Amino acid sequence: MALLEIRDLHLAMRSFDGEAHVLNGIDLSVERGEVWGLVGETGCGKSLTGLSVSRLVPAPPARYMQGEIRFDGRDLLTLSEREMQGLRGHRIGMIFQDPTTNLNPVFRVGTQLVDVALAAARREPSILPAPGGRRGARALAVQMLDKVGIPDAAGRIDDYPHQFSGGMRQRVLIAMALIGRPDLLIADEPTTALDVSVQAQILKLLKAMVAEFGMGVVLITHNLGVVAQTCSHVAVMYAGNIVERGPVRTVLTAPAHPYTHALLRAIPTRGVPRGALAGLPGTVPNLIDPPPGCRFAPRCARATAACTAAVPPAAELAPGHAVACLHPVREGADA
Amino acid sequence: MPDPMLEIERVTKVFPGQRGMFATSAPVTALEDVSLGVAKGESFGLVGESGSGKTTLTRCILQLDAPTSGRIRFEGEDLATLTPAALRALRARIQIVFQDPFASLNPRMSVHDIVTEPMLIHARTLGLGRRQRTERAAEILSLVGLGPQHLHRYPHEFSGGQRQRICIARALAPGPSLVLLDEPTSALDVSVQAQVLNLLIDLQRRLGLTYFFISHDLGVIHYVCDRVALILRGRIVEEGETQALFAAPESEYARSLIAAMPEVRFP
Amino acid sequence: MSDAALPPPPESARSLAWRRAFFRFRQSGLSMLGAAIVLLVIFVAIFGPWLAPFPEHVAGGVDTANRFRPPSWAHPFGTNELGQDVFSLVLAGTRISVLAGLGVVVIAALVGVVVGAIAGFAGGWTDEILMRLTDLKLVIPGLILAMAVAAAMGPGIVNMVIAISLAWWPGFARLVRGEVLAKKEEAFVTAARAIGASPARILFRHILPNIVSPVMVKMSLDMGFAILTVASLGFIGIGVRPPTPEWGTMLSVARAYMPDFWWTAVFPGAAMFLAIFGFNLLGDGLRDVLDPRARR
Repeated sequence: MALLEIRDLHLAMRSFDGEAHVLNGIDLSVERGEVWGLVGETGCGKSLTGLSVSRLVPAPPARYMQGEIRFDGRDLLTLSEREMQGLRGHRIGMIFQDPTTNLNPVFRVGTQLVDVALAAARREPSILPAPGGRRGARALAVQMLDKVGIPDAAGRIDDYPHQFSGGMRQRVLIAMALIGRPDLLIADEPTTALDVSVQAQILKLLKAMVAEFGMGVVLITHNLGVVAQTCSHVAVMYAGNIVERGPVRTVLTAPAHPYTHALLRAIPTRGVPRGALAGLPGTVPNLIDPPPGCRFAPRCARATAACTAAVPPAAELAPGHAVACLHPVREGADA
Repeated sequence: MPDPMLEIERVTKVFPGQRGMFATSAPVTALEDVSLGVAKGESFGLVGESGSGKTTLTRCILQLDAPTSGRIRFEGEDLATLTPAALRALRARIQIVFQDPFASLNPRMSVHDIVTEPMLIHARTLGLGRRQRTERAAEILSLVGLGPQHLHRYPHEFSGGQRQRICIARALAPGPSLVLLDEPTSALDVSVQAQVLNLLIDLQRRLGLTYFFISHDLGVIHYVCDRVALILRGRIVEEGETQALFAAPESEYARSLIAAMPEVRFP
Repeated sequence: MSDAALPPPPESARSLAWRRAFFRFRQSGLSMLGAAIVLLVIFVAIFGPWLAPFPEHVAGGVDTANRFRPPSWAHPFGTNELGQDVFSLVLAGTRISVLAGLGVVVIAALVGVVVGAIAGFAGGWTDEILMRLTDLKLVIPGLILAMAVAAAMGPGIVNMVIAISLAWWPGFARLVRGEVLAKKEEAFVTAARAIGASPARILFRHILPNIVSPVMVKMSLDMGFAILTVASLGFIGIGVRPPTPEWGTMLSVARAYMPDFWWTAVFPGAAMFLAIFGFNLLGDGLRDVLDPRARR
């Protein structure tokens, strides 16, 4: 049984102009030890997918139209808020984008870590080392800070968030997310607000933590480079659909979906001569009145009439590599 | 370099300490002995991370802040010696595009007003009447890939990429020769970034612009810039032709930056 | 590519933003209630004297034969110690309270915006001096200050409005100064400076139009307090003189006749409560809708 299994998830968001169909049948399966990159551009629904797993999307104006989110067998959409609170921090950890606003500035870092540890320990006391209780939680907090690479963890545990740099704060947040020993970690753009050199370190840290704790990770990002470096698998999203998913090497070296293909060709790497970068014409569709059938069809050079008839189902091209496209790109061919 | 368009000579900028209640904080040296030269018509890149001093440098070039020591020359003239009137006229010739397309447009102004404002401010030098300004605004909008039908819309009606195009249009309105670009595509999606970068390259060719391009993204710098300098903690660490520098970086910083860039590349 | 005839501005752009804001406003039942009450109050303020069933009482006429009649069909709010119809007096009093309140809020806002904008924009010594001036005003309790000024200037509604405004403007000045300081750091203001905009242009074209929302919200929230202050001054005998009906003076007189002739106090009091409550709800609703943090 997969750790996390999202099946045919449909989400609508109500706004002034109408109801936007923001998630259009998401299928995703995450096992322990897998790091899934959930990648896409602005408005594709990747953050909403991640937030949905933790049930952090405010329920009106959001409305889950159909589908289920199975975590260890239980459908999270059917749980009460109290039951979800029991899961958050303890079995499902989350890291958000901005380390500055996600730490409470008036509490010491140690206090915040201990709070999370104690809450998780209520469900599973074995998390805490020897004396248990508050002393054990504090010992665990020092351990975690050390593990995430904060130098002099025992000395710095009583510092306030503003005494840490941006990269350090993100490490603290990772410690906070992992201290409850979650089985699943959702990281929403964890390095976007950080400098490039710091970003590399944080990603390395995440990989090390995954190796040590054996969790499943959903890493939400818009940066394909980050996905290539850190993830084992990738799911590419466009306008509420997962258009391609599979092992990261396969998808990124031989992309089958025209969108993935276009995305990769839009990245300025060192090999691209000036003027040769291919942008993607057109704009993201309006999700209140989405185009019929495949939502990428209006911008796709390979689209035919069949593409607008219905949303293409995900077809397996190779074991583990699925594409939601009627005319996938074959290796060697031009898009 | 013979006749550089922009010459930054040993510029140092020190911000005095803040007077707190109990103590004065230490002064901050944002720029230290920075020297650069940008030739006419070239695309010069500046790579730096947060806190490196790149923003301070742009503010000094724009004369929004004055350097503590050192000189900045534009087309041969020392900017510090300009009269207020001459400084105002200068602002027609040096323009800037900022990083955040959402915050750099006044939400209460229509696109027409945003793009014609620079022409209005410099009406005396440009000599454009009201009707001419509106026509020119329409022209510039077409140049950046928008249309006259967008003139009477407001910023919030546009996407990030379109807003950045409006910012570019505003920068081009007074007919500048030097355009500073402070992370112009960092806030944009990858596919949109590609379009805007291609637009910038095209505009440079068509209008004969000189670019001072700041970015932390080495891929973007490599795509757009002829020469590049790296700035770390207020000091220039390395400088040279883009291709050469990337192929054989000399400084430790350059090497670590190149290594840290997440690329879609598998061993 | 210059067109001879450029397209006319589509009015949909602006009105769409308004419709959007109204939609959000409509989401809150309390805000709609506030808006309804305010509309009612304004309606009565405009048409009150004509709607009053006993206009002669409003003008000052008495009917001592009908003193202290409890509420009935002829007199829904009963009659007071002079035999006057309380319902007519309350209706007519709405006009004074609303007009006076509006006057206070508008004058205070105008003065406060000028002072706050100059202080925030100029900074340095100008800012220090103006803010200390503002602080001085805030040290003196508003009501006492208004009393002193009104007593010095003499009776009358105009003097009362001026007196209260003098006590009111520092609040606006502080708000505007804070907003101006914040806006000064925004990217579009830096962009304007980079284009070569003069300080005047930056202040009037870029900063001030963007602080209209919080000022408007404060104005509507303050209406309630302004009405209360007007009534308070009337209660202690400053400002409006009889026979002009005003809620505060009515309450002041009715105090002596409580609890036997409760209707002489309860109805003016209820009217005051309703008006203040309505403006507060409206102000809250406007703030929720116009809050710039709720970016589209």
